[in-house]
Amino acid sequence: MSDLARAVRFQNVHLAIVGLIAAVFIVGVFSSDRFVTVLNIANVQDQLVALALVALAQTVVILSGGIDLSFAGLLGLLSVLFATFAGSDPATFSAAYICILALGTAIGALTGGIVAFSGIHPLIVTLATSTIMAGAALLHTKQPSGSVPLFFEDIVYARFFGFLPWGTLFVIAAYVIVGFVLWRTRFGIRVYAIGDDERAATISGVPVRLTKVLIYALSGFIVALAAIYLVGRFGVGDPRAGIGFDLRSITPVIVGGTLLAGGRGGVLGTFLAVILLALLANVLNFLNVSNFYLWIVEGVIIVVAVSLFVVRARS
Amino acid sequence: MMARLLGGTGTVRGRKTREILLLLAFLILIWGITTVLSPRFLSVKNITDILIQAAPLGFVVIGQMIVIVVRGLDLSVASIMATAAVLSIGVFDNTATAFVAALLLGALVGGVNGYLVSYRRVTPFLATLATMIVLQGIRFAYTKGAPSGSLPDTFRYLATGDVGGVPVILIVLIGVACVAHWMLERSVPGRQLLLYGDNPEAAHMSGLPAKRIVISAYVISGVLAAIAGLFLVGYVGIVDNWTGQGYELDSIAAAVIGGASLRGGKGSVIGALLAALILVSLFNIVVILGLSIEFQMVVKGALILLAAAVYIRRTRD
Amino acid sequence: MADPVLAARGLTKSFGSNEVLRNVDFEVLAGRNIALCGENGAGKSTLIKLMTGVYTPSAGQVLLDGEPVAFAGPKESIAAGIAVVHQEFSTISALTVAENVFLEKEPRNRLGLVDRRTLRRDCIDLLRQLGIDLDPDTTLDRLSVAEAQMVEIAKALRSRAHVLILDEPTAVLSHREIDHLFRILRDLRGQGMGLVYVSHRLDEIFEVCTDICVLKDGDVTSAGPIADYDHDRVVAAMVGRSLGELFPPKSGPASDAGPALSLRGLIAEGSAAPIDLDLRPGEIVGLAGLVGSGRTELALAIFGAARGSGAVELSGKAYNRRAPGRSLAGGLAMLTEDRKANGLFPETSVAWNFAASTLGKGARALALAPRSEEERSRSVVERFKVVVDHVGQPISALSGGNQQKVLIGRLLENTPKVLLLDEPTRGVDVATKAEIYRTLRRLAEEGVAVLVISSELIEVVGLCDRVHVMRDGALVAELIGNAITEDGIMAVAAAATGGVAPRPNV
Repeated sequence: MSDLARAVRFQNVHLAIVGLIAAVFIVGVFSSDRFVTVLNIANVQDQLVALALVALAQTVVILSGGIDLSFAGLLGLLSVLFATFAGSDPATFSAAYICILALGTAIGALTGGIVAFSGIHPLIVTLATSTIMAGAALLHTKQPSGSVPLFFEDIVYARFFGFLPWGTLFVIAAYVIVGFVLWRTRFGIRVYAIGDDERAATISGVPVRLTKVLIYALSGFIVALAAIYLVGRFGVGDPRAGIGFDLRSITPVIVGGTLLAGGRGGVLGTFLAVILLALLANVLNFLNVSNFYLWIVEGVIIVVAVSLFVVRARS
Repeated sequence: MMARLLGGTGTVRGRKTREILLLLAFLILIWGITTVLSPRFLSVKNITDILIQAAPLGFVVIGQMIVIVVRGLDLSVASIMATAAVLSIGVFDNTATAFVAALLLGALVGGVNGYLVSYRRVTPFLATLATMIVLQGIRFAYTKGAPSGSLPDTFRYLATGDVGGVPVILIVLIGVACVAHWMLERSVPGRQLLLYGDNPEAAHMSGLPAKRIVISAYVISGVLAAIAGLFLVGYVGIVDNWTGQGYELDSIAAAVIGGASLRGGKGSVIGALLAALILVSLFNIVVILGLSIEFQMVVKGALILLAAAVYIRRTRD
Repeated sequence: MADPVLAARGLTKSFGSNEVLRNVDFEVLAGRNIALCGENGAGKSTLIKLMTGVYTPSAGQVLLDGEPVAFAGPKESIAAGIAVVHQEFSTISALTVAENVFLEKEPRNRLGLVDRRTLRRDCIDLLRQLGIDLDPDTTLDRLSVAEAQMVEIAKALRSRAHVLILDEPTAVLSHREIDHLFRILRDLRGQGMGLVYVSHRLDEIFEVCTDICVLKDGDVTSAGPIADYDHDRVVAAMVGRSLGELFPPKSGPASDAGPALSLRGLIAEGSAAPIDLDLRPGEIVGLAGLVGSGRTELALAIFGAARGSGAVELSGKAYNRRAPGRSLAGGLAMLTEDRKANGLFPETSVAWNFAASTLGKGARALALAPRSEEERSRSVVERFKVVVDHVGQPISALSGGNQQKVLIGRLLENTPKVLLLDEPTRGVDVATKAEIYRTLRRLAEEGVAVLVISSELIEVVGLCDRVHVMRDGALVAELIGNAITEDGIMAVAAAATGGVAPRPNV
């Protein structure tokens, strides 16, 4: 196994996903002339940016044996706050940008602190914080409101060569950076160690609590990026922007071969799974299959993926 | 004397009793505060309203708690509620048939969940997440996304009517709760659930039917969710694709506040129902205070954290 | 004689009013390997924790190279060159060998990034120095338990150490793996390291150690060069009484009655050959062999808790669709080796634990009979002298010995005709051991057939009427009567493998 393969935590399931992506792509080509158009390809990418970011955050949390169900509330809250304070000129915009990232990170760190120091299951903690933040967002505004400077919307909608949005480059950069952090920093090794065996990690001197705080802080930071992106895309802050993202963020992580129990997997699988799911939705659309069937397909994929991993782990 | 009343100090039963008394005290505290704030609160009519409001969650939380007892989690309950209501009322004109069909659907989905968890060894979280999504797809595909609308009067009666002044929904809930309580505390299958949840390996070695235990827990949860779905549409008056949205997380929260541990082996019907009532009462207090409804979410989140922290502290001692 | 590298002088430790270690002297010498022996609860781990700074002594002091030291915690003792391999593994199966060995000590470059190349090279160097042949890039989940143990040792020795303490290192190893471990230990000793070997396995101690120190109830009862000792002297120092007092007298030859349990061609997981075995009512049969020889797997297959193929007869009737529930109903009960993992229900009461396999007893339809349950468990509590205030107390509040008594009580509720007991006295104090032995003998006299799996040779020799020795998944010898000796069992159990071992006619 080469160093690169080790660094990206290559698994055979990644090949399978690439194969599926190719298959879905071919179906797409035959389903409509409009499938392989610059416009459609850019569309697919626009669809996947936010999901790719929250799934990246979720990957790190799940690798460490935790789970973060606070995205629904966090996205909503950060989204309305950003749209409220972004204003119209670059100065207020940059200030709001930095503040939102800091706030997302701080909320994440707080969540991580509660998880690490209280011993309460992260599912319960993040569920509770999500509810609190969703309530706070709705208290702030019930309707989508606020705005962002035009230049930001322009950036979000700009495309290189007509088909490559900034968002995609941004997502790729985020995955590469997080992947690098997991491979080349002590923090990264600690994430895997805690996820696989928290007791052994503690005995080995891993600062488990500090690491958990950092993990959820990182998650909050990435989700803040997703919130800012969503505001840019829709032009308003929506307190309900995050609904569904909590559970949806988990599907690509699991399909990409990361174990919910923690310790095994990596960001590459998540990245490929996000592409697969976005492409699948797009092609089903062209096939005139209602999006409702996509849910059925997604559920079946989860079960199949998970069953396969379980069987593999046993043998 | 007091110690004996509480089931003896240091005993397992005593610990459980104290937890329930704590919940009861908390509920009384909330009601007390509400009464002080608004003297009209403490009327038979108002309390009955709160109970009726809490009833659908009551059904779901009993099932959820039983699943949590066997180290599981059921994220599909809300989806079962809506799908059972939408499909059964959409397909069958006859109320009785529709009712039976809804229960069968709930049992079937629960069976699938249980099969995935016990035979395929899929993590409960993912197994029920998958069935949740699949059911959602089936439901929307059937209705083509639009709410199917009208509702037979019989359902409305079931949810809002009464027998001699006692609402039908409460009679059914109390009946279900009594059976569930008896089952969990006093029957062989209930003891099997608790023992399995405490240590699945030891349960296997003790000859308990591990797979059957897990599957039956999910089936119970599925059936109760279906019942809750029917009552909820009857209460609201429309059949909606998103009926019961949020109940999966609320029921988990209530089960945990009610003393169930996600590590399994612990839980009580009385605790779960009290917790559901506490959640709904909080909603009421927010309304009476004239606060915006969203404020209730903030309070609820804080309460979940608080309750979980209290139990963690106690189990550590 | 040289000065000790590490020494304890008059160490005393009490927790509250409970004195667990009294005035203990202990010396670790460079180039020597001292065995620290004692029953469970004798104070072995307390002594280790005092010398490595996990606990602070109530009285006395720890000397390092003759100078008194007071370690504030394990980090300081490690920095001072005292390495410990704990019984509980600290390796992480998702990480590679190199990541495990240098966890939290990864070499980093100027930017603070982990230097993967140096990490790998350092690991290769260390493994070579220790004579361990492992690929640094393999994840631990691909290694055997023994290899993980090697990684554990490498991890302990990643920084320069003068003293290596091994806490029950062979609990999970097979004999070939133990040989490898011992080779490494002799190497280290040759390099001048001082070794402490904590164990209660006498044969290992005699093989690898140069000195011995025996603890009993917090006191050093005996210490000196290993050459001055034999098995009996060590046991006497550990147990404080002779073997005769510990074990009830054996009964005469087994009855002529047909077998209570008979195996014909049973193949369990890891079986090398089909296994034939008969258990007659009234006899206690030992199943000896090294850890990993397939004894537990065999018992689980008979009981139906693990896969197995082949014919089993229970009281003369074919019993082929095996499952734990069916076994219990048919009078075949099993006590598991790992009480915590698959015996106890930790959060529930003594009464619930006791009644777990007989929930239906006294029940009408599906209704439990809590009163009869409580009465039954109270009678067991009295019969086995279980120390507990109330049968409603959580079982986790009891000591290991008392927990074991409750579990044995649970088995007997099924009125078994055949008992399979896997390490029945593990983690149990001497008094309880003697009680368990008496109970088993009484059961045998009442006509129960008992199969005891045990890694404690003293137990096998003292208790059993007949002993089968297992090696690498096959039954290789049967010993009866006076032929049952520790040497006799070890000779067969640890014999070099390869080819089909001849079946000695003993």
